[in-house]
Amino acid sequence: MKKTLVVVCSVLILAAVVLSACGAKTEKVTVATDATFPPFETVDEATKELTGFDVELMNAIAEKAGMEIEWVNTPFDSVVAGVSECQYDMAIAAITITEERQATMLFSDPYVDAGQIVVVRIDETAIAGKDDLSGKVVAAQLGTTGEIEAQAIEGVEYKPYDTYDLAMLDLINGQVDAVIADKPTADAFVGQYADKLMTVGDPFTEEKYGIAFCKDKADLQAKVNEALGTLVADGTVGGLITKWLAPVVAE
Amino acid sequence: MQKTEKDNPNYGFHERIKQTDQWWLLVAIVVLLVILLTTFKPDPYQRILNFVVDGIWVTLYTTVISFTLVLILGLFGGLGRTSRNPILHGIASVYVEVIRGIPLLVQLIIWYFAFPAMVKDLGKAWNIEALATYKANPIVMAILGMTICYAAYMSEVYRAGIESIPKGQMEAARSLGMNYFQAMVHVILPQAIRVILPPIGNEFVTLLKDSSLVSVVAVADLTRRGREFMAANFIPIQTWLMVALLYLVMTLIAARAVTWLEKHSRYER
Repeated sequence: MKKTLVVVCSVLILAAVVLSACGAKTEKVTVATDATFPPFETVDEATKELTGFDVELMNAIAEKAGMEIEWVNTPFDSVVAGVSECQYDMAIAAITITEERQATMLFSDPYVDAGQIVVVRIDETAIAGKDDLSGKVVAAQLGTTGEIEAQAIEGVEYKPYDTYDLAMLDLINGQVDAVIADKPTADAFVGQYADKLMTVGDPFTEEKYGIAFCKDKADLQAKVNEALGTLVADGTVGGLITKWLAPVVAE
Repeated sequence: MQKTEKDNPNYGFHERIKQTDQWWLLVAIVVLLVILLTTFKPDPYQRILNFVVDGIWVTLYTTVISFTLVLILGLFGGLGRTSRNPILHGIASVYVEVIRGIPLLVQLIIWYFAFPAMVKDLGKAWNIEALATYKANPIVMAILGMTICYAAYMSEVYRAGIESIPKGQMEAARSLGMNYFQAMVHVILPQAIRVILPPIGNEFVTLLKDSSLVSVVAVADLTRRGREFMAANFIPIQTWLMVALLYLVMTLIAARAVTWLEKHSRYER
């Protein structure tokens, strides 16, 4: 009876270890992302493949650096946590390079500049920028720099959301007064809801997106940086920015 | 004295069966609703269905595999809880009390993030290459997490079933020369299972819904697919209406299947 119990438990744990180890043997690089963040990463409706600015950039880098990518599509807080403890080799998910994150993971050279900006309803008159947010309900996505900035503003009632689309929907529905997001993200949503949302003020932070690496993968970081440099020089990155982040460039 | 229909001990039971079977109508209505939506409003409903359909499959097989393991592991838990052996009883009780006191979401996160980190640290400490480079497989961890959590609930269901059978039956079986396991397998469990079929069905439906939590550990189930679709298309009402209807189709059919099983096992009594 006790034996059977022990056997069942060991089989379960062994199965978990063995099955998972199968994946680790191939010479693939696991790249994590959260495909609920257009235009940076999303799932193509027709092919159900990952697509977006980050995905195409990563694929181009992989081709240049001769790597085979195994994508992992998971919520953003899991992406960051997974990279910091080397569950994934690297992650490309519009991740802002911060000091706190650099303490637990490596970063590539920055590939996009994106400051935080305030998004409000189109009929909003009381908020003209970051400084008017005191006493207001402000939303951002869990684990993002938008969250850090929102919480840093004095007198703000901060409301976290799982994803930015939920935050934006609650903004439209009037349940929050403003959303703080990366400018490219904010512009993408304002583009989608041109009759309902607008950005106010200028970006109030200096932020750069980088590709994150597990801290044991310095060799991978060097390879990716080299490929990224080539892609910036030959205009590939510029082409991707025009293709995916057009509203950012147009302004 | 004339016997009326109501004096029949089975009265009410058959009426109940007839009544519950009418719930098939609800299944039909929900399925019809899905068909109508996808037929007459293919944009966006057919698009949503096409997008999330592989998520339905993931939700179904993670649930069914987990539940099969839950039925087995839960039986051991239940036997342990009813055992008079203090060690077995202790192990089973600690397992049930600890596991059912931790939310499934927390357990899934522990299995997918904390457990592999622990394995890796051990691998590094002991210099075992296979452990040091260990990577968790999301599906395996999701199934493992759901199984261990729900087996704790199921242990209590089994315990209730076993304890509902009068002690005299075990004593009678033992006095006929059966050992403990023979008595369990041939006398107690077949009766207990009939008693606990409704709660087992309830656990299955609950697990099917709770399987939506695996979307946080990189498993592309129905809920995760819904979130991806909403994020790309910004149509929350339609997306979640469709996702909710699809869950409802699955849970309603599962509930009907349990009723059917109940009906057929009761007639054998």
